[in-house]
Amino acid sequence: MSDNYHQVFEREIEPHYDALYTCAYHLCKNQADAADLLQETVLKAWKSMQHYEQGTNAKAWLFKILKNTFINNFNRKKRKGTALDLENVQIADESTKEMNEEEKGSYGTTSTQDFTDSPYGDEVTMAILNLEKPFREVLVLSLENFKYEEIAEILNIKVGTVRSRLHRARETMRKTLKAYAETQGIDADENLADPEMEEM
Amino acid sequence: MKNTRKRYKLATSQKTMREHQPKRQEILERVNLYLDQEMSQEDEKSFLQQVRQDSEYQQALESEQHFRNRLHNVVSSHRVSRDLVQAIREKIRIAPI
Repeated sequence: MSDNYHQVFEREIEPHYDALYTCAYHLCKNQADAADLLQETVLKAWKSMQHYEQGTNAKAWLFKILKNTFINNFNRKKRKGTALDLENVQIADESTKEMNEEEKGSYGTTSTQDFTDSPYGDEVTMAILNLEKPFREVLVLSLENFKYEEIAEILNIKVGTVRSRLHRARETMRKTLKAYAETQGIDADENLADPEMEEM
Repeated sequence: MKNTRKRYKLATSQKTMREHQPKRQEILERVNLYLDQEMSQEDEKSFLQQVRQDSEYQQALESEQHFRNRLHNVVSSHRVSRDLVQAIREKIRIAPI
Protein backbone atom coordinates (compact mmCIF):
# COMPACT_ATOMS: atom_id res chain seq x y z
CA MET A 1 0.00 0.00 0.00
CA SER A 2 2.85 2.33 0.97
CA ASP A 3 4.54 1.56 -2.39
CA ASN A 4 1.41 2.71 -4.13
CA TYR A 5 1.43 5.93 -2.10
CA HIS A 6 5.08 6.48 -3.07
CA GLN A 7 4.18 6.23 -6.75
CA VAL A 8 1.23 8.60 -6.40
CA PHE A 9 3.40 11.00 -4.46
CA GLU A 10 6.11 11.00 -7.08
CA ARG A 11 3.64 11.45 -9.91
CA GLU A 12 1.23 14.00 -8.42
CA ILE A 13 3.03 15.80 -5.60
CA GLU A 14 6.71 16.11 -6.58
CA PRO A 15 6.04 18.13 -9.75
CA HIS A 16 4.78 20.98 -7.53
CA TYR A 17 7.95 21.37 -5.44
CA ASP A 18 9.27 24.34 -7.44
CA ALA A 19 5.97 26.19 -7.18
CA LEU A 20 5.71 25.42 -3.46
CA TYR A 21 9.28 26.54 -2.87
CA THR A 22 8.69 29.76 -4.79
CA CYS A 23 5.67 30.55 -2.66
CA ALA A 24 7.53 29.57 0.51
CA TYR A 25 10.41 31.86 -0.44
CA HIS A 26 8.04 34.79 -0.93
CA LEU A 27 6.39 34.11 2.42
CA CYS A 28 9.58 33.53 4.44
CA LYS A 29 11.81 35.92 2.50
CA ASN A 30 14.87 33.72 2.84
CA GLN A 31 16.00 30.44 1.29
CA ALA A 32 16.75 28.49 4.47
CA ASP A 33 13.30 29.03 5.98
CA ALA A 34 11.70 28.41 2.59
CA ALA A 35 13.47 25.05 2.32
CA ASP A 36 12.33 24.13 5.85
CA LEU A 37 8.78 25.18 5.06
CA LEU A 38 8.77 23.13 1.87
CA GLN A 39 10.04 20.03 3.70
CA GLU A 40 7.51 20.40 6.47
CA THR A 41 4.68 20.93 3.99
CA VAL A 42 5.63 17.89 1.94
CA LEU A 43 5.95 15.69 5.03
CA LYS A 44 2.51 16.79 6.21
CA ALA A 45 1.12 16.00 2.77
CA TRP A 46 2.77 12.57 2.92
CA LYS A 47 1.25 11.85 6.32
CA SER A 48 -2.18 12.82 4.95
CA MET A 49 -1.88 10.73 1.81
CA GLN A 50 -4.72 8.44 2.82
CA HIS A 51 -7.04 11.47 2.63
CA TYR A 52 -5.78 12.54 -0.76
CA GLU A 53 -7.90 11.60 -3.74
CA GLN A 54 -5.82 10.83 -6.81
CA GLY A 55 -6.41 13.08 -9.76
CA THR A 56 -7.90 15.93 -7.71
CA ASN A 57 -6.31 19.38 -7.47
CA ALA A 58 -3.06 18.38 -5.76
CA LYS A 59 -1.52 21.81 -6.24
CA ALA A 60 -4.31 23.66 -4.42
CA TRP A 61 -4.26 21.01 -1.65
CA LEU A 62 -0.50 21.42 -1.21
CA PHE A 63 -0.65 25.21 -1.18
CA LYS A 64 -3.30 25.08 1.52
CA ILE A 65 -1.05 22.85 3.65
CA LEU A 66 1.86 25.22 3.01
CA LYS A 67 -0.16 28.26 4.03
CA ASN A 68 -1.37 26.58 7.25
CA THR A 69 2.12 25.32 8.07
CA PHE A 70 3.52 28.81 7.61
CA ILE A 71 0.89 30.26 9.95
CA ASN A 72 1.48 27.56 12.60
CA ASN A 73 5.24 28.09 12.46
CA PHE A 74 4.78 31.83 12.72
CA ASN A 75 2.53 31.48 15.76
CA ARG A 76 4.96 29.02 17.35
CA LYS A 77 7.85 31.43 16.85
CA LYS A 78 5.75 34.24 18.24
CA ARG A 79 5.01 32.26 21.39
CA LYS A 80 8.72 31.53 21.78
CA GLY A 81 9.43 35.22 21.46
CA THR A 82 11.49 35.01 18.28
CA ALA A 83 12.36 38.44 16.97
CA LEU A 84 9.51 39.39 14.72
CA ASP A 85 9.10 43.03 14.03
CA LEU A 86 5.39 43.49 14.57
CA GLU A 87 5.74 47.20 15.16
CA ASN A 88 6.15 47.75 11.46
CA VAL A 89 2.89 46.08 10.59
CA GLN A 90 0.63 48.44 8.77
CA ILE A 91 -3.02 47.97 8.07
CA ALA A 92 -3.05 48.91 4.43
CA ASP A 93 -6.63 49.22 3.36
CA GLU A 94 -10.13 47.97 3.86
CA SER A 95 -9.30 44.58 2.43
CA THR A 96 -6.74 43.89 5.13
CA LYS A 97 -9.40 44.63 7.73
CA GLU A 98 -11.34 41.73 6.31
CA MET A 99 -8.59 39.33 7.29
CA ASN A 100 -9.54 36.65 9.75
CA GLU A 101 -7.74 36.27 13.06
CA GLU A 102 -5.51 33.51 11.78
CA GLU A 103 -4.23 35.71 9.00
CA LYS A 104 -3.69 38.65 11.29
CA GLY A 105 -1.45 36.42 13.34
CA SER A 106 0.73 35.74 10.36
CA TYR A 107 0.99 39.32 9.28
CA GLY A 108 4.31 40.16 10.77
CA THR A 109 6.77 39.81 7.91
CA THR A 110 7.81 43.28 6.94
CA SER A 111 10.07 45.22 4.72
CA THR A 112 12.63 45.51 7.49
CA GLN A 113 13.72 41.91 7.02
CA ASP A 114 17.03 40.98 5.55
CA PHE A 115 16.94 40.44 1.81
CA THR A 116 20.64 39.79 1.44
CA ASP A 117 20.15 36.15 0.57
CA SER A 118 17.77 36.92 -2.27
CA PRO A 119 19.24 34.87 -5.13
CA TYR A 120 18.06 37.29 -7.76
CA GLY A 121 18.53 40.61 -6.04
CA ASP A 122 16.73 42.51 -8.71
CA GLU A 123 14.12 45.14 -8.31
CA VAL A 124 11.18 42.86 -9.12
CA THR A 125 12.02 40.36 -6.38
CA MET A 126 12.60 43.18 -3.93
CA ALA A 127 9.30 44.80 -4.86
CA ILE A 128 7.43 41.53 -4.34
CA LEU A 129 9.13 40.86 -1.02
CA ASN A 130 8.35 44.40 0.10
CA LEU A 131 4.63 43.94 -0.41
CA GLU A 132 2.70 43.37 2.77
CA LYS A 133 1.94 39.70 3.26
CA PRO A 134 -1.79 39.67 2.37
CA PHE A 135 -0.97 41.30 -0.96
CA ARG A 136 2.20 39.31 -1.53
CA GLU A 137 0.49 35.96 -1.11
CA VAL A 138 -2.38 36.65 -3.51
CA LEU A 139 0.08 37.96 -6.09
CA VAL A 140 2.35 34.94 -5.82
CA LEU A 141 -0.61 32.54 -6.01
CA SER A 142 -1.95 34.37 -9.06
CA LEU A 143 1.45 33.99 -10.70
CA GLU A 144 1.05 30.26 -10.12
CA ASN A 145 -2.06 30.51 -12.28
CA PHE A 146 -4.55 29.77 -9.54
CA LYS A 147 -8.08 31.00 -10.22
CA TYR A 148 -9.67 33.57 -7.89
CA GLU A 149 -11.80 30.86 -6.33
CA GLU A 150 -8.82 28.61 -5.67
CA ILE A 151 -6.86 31.46 -4.09
CA ALA A 152 -9.86 32.25 -1.91
CA GLU A 153 -10.04 28.60 -0.85
CA ILE A 154 -6.31 28.35 -0.11
CA LEU A 155 -6.20 31.57 1.89
CA ASN A 156 -9.63 31.16 3.44
CA ILE A 157 -10.83 34.56 2.26
CA LYS A 158 -13.64 35.78 0.01
CA VAL A 159 -13.30 35.91 -3.78
CA GLY A 160 -14.01 39.65 -3.66
CA THR A 161 -11.12 40.08 -1.24
CA VAL A 162 -8.85 38.15 -3.59
CA ARG A 163 -9.76 40.51 -6.40
CA SER A 164 -9.27 43.68 -4.39
CA ARG A 165 -5.96 42.51 -2.92
CA LEU A 166 -4.72 41.41 -6.31
CA HIS A 167 -5.62 44.76 -7.80
CA ARG A 168 -3.88 46.55 -4.95
CA ALA A 169 -0.79 44.31 -5.17
CA ARG A 170 -0.38 44.90 -8.90
CA GLU A 171 -0.87 48.64 -8.52
CA THR A 172 1.76 48.77 -5.77
CA MET A 173 4.16 46.72 -7.89
CA ARG A 174 3.68 49.00 -10.86
CA LYS A 175 4.26 52.12 -8.76
CA THR A 176 7.30 50.67 -7.01
CA LEU A 177 8.92 49.53 -10.24
CA LYS A 178 8.12 52.81 -11.95
CA ALA A 179 9.69 54.75 -9.09
CA TYR A 180 12.74 52.48 -9.20
CA ALA A 181 13.06 52.98 -12.95
CA GLU A 182 12.92 56.73 -12.51
CA THR A 183 15.68 56.73 -9.89
CA GLN A 184 17.83 54.70 -12.29
CA GLY A 185 17.07 56.99 -15.20
CA ILE A 186 15.41 54.12 -17.07
CA ASP A 187 12.31 54.48 -19.18
CA ALA A 188 9.61 53.09 -16.87
CA ASP A 189 7.62 51.45 -19.65
CA GLU A 190 10.70 49.75 -20.99
CA ASN A 191 11.68 48.65 -17.49
CA LEU A 192 8.34 46.94 -17.05
CA ALA A 193 8.41 45.40 -20.47
CA ASP A 194 8.91 41.74 -21.12
CA PRO A 195 12.64 41.10 -21.69
CA GLU A 196 11.82 38.67 -24.51
CA MET A 197 9.90 41.40 -26.27
CA GLU A 198 12.76 43.83 -25.75
CA GLU A 199 15.10 41.52 -27.59
CA MET A 200 12.87 41.48 -30.64
CA MET B 1 -12.74 87.64 -19.26
CA LYS B 2 -9.32 86.00 -19.13
CA ASN B 3 -10.10 84.47 -15.73
CA THR B 4 -13.43 83.18 -16.93
CA ARG B 5 -11.74 81.51 -19.88
CA LYS B 6 -9.12 79.99 -17.56
CA ARG B 7 -11.81 78.69 -15.19
CA TYR B 8 -13.73 77.25 -18.15
CA LYS B 9 -10.59 75.56 -19.44
CA LEU B 10 -9.82 74.08 -16.01
CA ALA B 11 -13.37 72.87 -15.53
CA THR B 12 -13.32 71.28 -18.98
CA SER B 13 -10.04 69.48 -18.35
CA GLN B 14 -11.28 68.24 -14.96
CA LYS B 15 -14.46 67.04 -16.60
CA THR B 16 -12.41 65.21 -19.24
CA MET B 17 -10.30 63.60 -16.53
CA ARG B 18 -13.39 62.55 -14.61
CA GLU B 19 -14.86 61.05 -17.76
CA HIS B 20 -11.59 59.40 -18.72
CA GLN B 21 -10.89 57.84 -15.30
CA PRO B 22 -13.85 55.43 -15.19
CA LYS B 23 -13.07 54.28 -18.74
CA ARG B 24 -9.43 53.59 -17.83
CA GLN B 25 -10.58 51.80 -14.69
CA GLU B 26 -13.07 49.76 -16.66
CA ILE B 27 -10.46 48.85 -19.25
CA LEU B 28 -7.98 47.77 -16.60
CA GLU B 29 -10.63 45.72 -14.83
CA ARG B 30 -11.58 43.91 -18.04
CA VAL B 31 -7.94 43.38 -19.00
CA ASN B 32 -7.26 41.81 -15.61
CA LEU B 33 -10.30 39.55 -15.81
CA TYR B 34 -9.23 38.45 -19.29
CA LEU B 35 -5.62 37.74 -18.33
CA ASP B 36 -6.71 36.03 -15.12
CA GLN B 37 -8.95 33.83 -17.27
CA GLU B 38 -11.96 34.77 -15.20
CA MET B 39 -14.17 35.89 -18.11
CA SER B 40 -17.05 33.91 -19.51
CA GLN B 41 -16.63 32.83 -23.13
CA GLU B 42 -19.10 35.44 -24.25
CA ASP B 43 -17.39 38.27 -22.35
CA GLU B 44 -14.04 37.13 -23.66
CA LYS B 45 -15.30 37.28 -27.21
CA SER B 46 -16.67 40.79 -26.80
CA PHE B 47 -13.49 41.88 -24.98
CA LEU B 48 -11.26 40.67 -27.84
CA GLN B 49 -13.46 42.45 -30.33
CA GLN B 50 -13.09 45.63 -28.28
CA VAL B 51 -9.31 45.17 -28.28
CA ARG B 52 -9.30 44.99 -32.05
CA GLN B 53 -11.36 48.15 -32.36
CA ASP B 54 -10.04 50.34 -29.56
CA SER B 55 -6.36 51.28 -29.35
CA GLU B 56 -6.71 52.15 -25.65
CA TYR B 57 -7.79 48.59 -24.96
CA GLN B 58 -4.99 47.25 -27.11
CA GLN B 59 -2.34 49.34 -25.32
CA ALA B 60 -3.68 48.42 -21.89
CA LEU B 61 -3.64 44.72 -22.76
CA GLU B 62 -0.10 44.82 -24.13
CA SER B 63 1.21 46.81 -21.20
CA GLU B 64 -0.42 44.51 -18.64
CA GLN B 65 0.85 41.43 -20.49
CA HIS B 66 4.43 42.73 -20.47
CA PHE B 67 4.18 43.64 -16.81
CA ARG B 68 2.93 40.16 -15.89
CA ASN B 69 5.51 38.40 -18.03
CA ARG B 70 8.21 40.30 -16.21
CA LEU B 71 6.80 39.27 -12.82
CA HIS B 72 6.31 35.71 -13.97
CA ASN B 73 9.88 35.40 -15.24
CA VAL B 74 11.24 36.41 -11.86
CA VAL B 75 8.86 34.38 -9.74
CA SER B 76 9.10 31.22 -11.81
CA SER B 77 12.89 31.24 -11.72
CA HIS B 78 12.98 29.64 -8.27
CA ARG B 79 14.03 26.01 -8.47
CA VAL B 80 14.36 23.39 -5.76
CA SER B 81 17.84 21.88 -5.68
CA ARG B 82 18.33 18.18 -6.35
CA ASP B 83 19.84 17.81 -2.88
CA LEU B 84 16.70 19.16 -1.29
CA VAL B 85 14.47 16.89 -3.37
CA GLN B 86 16.66 13.95 -2.33
CA ALA B 87 16.55 14.96 1.33
CA ILE B 88 12.75 15.10 1.19
CA ARG B 89 12.60 11.67 -0.48
CA GLU B 90 14.76 10.25 2.30
CA LYS B 91 12.51 11.71 4.99
CA ILE B 92 9.41 10.35 3.27
CA ARG B 93 10.96 6.93 2.86
CA ILE B 94 11.31 6.50 6.62
CA ALA B 95 8.21 8.45 7.67
CA PRO B 96 5.09 6.43 8.41
CA ILE B 97 1.84 7.48 6.80
